[in-house]
Amino acid sequence: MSLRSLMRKGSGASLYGPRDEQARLDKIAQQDEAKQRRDAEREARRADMRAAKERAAEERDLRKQEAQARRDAERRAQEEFEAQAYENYQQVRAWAMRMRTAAGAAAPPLTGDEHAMLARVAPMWDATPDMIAALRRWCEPVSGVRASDYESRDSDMAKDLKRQIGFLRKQLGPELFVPESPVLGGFGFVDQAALYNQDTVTSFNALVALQDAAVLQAFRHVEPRQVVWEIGGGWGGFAYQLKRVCPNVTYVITGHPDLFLLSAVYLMSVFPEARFRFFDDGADWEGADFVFAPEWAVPTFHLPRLDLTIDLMALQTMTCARATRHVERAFNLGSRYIYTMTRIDAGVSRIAVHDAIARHFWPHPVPPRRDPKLEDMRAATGVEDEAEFSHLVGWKRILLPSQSGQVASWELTRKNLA
Amino acid sequence: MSATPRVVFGMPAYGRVDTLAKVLESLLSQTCPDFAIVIVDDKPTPDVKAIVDTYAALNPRITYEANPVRLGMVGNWRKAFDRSRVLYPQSEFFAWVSDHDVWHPRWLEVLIGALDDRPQAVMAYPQMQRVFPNERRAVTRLFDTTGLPGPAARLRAATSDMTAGNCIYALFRTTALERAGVFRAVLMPDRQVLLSLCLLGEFRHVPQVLWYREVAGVFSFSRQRRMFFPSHIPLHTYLPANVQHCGLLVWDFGICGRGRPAFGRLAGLGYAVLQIAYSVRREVIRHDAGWRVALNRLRFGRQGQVAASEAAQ
Repeated sequence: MSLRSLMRKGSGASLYGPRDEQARLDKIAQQDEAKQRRDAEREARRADMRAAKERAAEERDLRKQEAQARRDAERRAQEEFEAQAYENYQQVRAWAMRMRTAAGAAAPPLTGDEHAMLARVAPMWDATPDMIAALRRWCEPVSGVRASDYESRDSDMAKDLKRQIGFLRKQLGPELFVPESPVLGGFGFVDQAALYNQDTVTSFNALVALQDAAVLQAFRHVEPRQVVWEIGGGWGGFAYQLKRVCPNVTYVITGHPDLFLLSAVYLMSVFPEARFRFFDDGADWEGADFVFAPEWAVPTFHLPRLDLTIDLMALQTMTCARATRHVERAFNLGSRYIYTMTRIDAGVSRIAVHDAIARHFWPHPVPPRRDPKLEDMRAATGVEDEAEFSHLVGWKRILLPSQSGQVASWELTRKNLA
Repeated sequence: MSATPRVVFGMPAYGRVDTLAKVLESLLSQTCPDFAIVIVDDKPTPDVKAIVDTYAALNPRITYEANPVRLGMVGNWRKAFDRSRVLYPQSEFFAWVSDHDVWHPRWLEVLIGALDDRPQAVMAYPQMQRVFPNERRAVTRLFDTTGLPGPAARLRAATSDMTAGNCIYALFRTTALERAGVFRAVLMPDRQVLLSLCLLGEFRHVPQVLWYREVAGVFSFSRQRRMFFPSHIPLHTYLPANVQHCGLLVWDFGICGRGRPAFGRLAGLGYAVLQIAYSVRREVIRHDAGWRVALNRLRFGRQGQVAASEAAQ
């Protein structure tokens, strides 16, 4: 009994009668019961809270364990991915070595620019697993895009790229934009959970040009499987984007064997499920996702069909004769379209490429989509327009100018291009 | 290739030796091969014949006919259609093609798909690019009457927003085109055909650049009269073009009842009246309306002020 109830009992005895006393005692008893109930409830609540805390601690531990397990799994997956990438590299290196040896006298004469580029790619012949794990950072000699330029989000380039991507995505919708893959040392700025850099934007512009030329639509979700041939192939960046946008194509890349140490390894790693074929592996190319062949094999290789030939600044680095041979080969293989992206400042070599194309294909320049606000911004900040490209799509001629006796129209086009 | 082509391209040619081969190649490169080409030449020369013969050797469905006397543009365009009906009466679609513009290899494939998808549509046309001597410009403007509730709404849209010079190079359903009447002896006959046609069905605009149009010459009614009617200019062509078009709508739909079964003669007369009302409204509000141009030329107009300031300097 509590002190308060005793005091009440004692003090009330002389003032109230027996019935009142009984009522008072009952009331006190009720109050005591209520207090005991409250105490019990409080205790129960405390016990619940203790249990909840224990459970939360257990869950936290579990989550920590799960996170750790996930990190471990990711690390293992990453290690497996990198190990697989290195295996891919070893396979490609062995093949590229064979192709280099087999070239012999058939090896095409390289220009000074190509020699310089290949000299910078040369360390890839003895790449370590760490180098392959950061493969994208070794692509700078091919694309000129440096990972270290993407460390600050406040640079003018960051704003410029963001603006370009925003403008094109707004005009065309988000379907054509394929962000840079974060694997193998992918780098760039991040916006709306998408990684991008100058290479991403350049390839995006090429896809937009193909869309504006009403070519790309023919390659999306269609049967039968169509064949695309990219001359050069770079480090595989455009192949990655086009294959994401048009999954049902066979993508053939020809180029110098050294470059496959970048492009083939990259594509084999980012598309682990895809079917890959190499020039001398004797397998059927029909139904393959990617086919790799050295440039010296171009005059002799045969494709089941050819629908589109792509050149992203590869022809402009070649000698005129080599560029012409590629265009002729595309024509002879029946390529319905040819697309070329050249640097505006490439001068004579750009004209030479367009000339070579115009001899076999009807040339149609694709006007670039220009964002007036971006141009104003560039003018205001004094940023030099480094990525000014011209886009040209050619439609296969039925008769060559000499056969049809018509040269006037293409001569006119040539003058306009010049 | 079927026995009867689904599509006939009618080409009213007029002496463009420099571009004819390119045009024929663009047509022969179509990814949908079920077509024939009927060329009617209003300015025949041995060079044109030689080019056509070269390509006719590759494709037997190219026919060439030289006009013994010059018919003019209206007569030649009509003849291109008439000859295609005589040669291929079972063909389902028809398109006029010029001897200087260029057609994308996917033009036919895409537009046939657009018409097959929508039976209510009487024609489909693509986005185009204007080809100037030194540059190209894509035209982004869209005009589409898909889903509009009835002939009156389509007529209003066509009268206000349609660019007839682009739409006339569409892919048409041949039966609808025949009902609408083909290239009458009026000014802006392309516009007249399309206004009649819009009463019979929907126009579909495919937002892909599939046609490359050479830009040359300046529009004027006197030039049209000379080109359309080389031998004799009909007097009624000196009336306002809208009045000429209204007269034909009254005749075709109000008197001949060509709108049936979709609508009767009375409704046809009503549409003719609506057409003239919408056309007048358009003439009043458009930015390059005649009254604006005339006003600008006056001393207090914009051009007049510029001229005055230049003179003062």
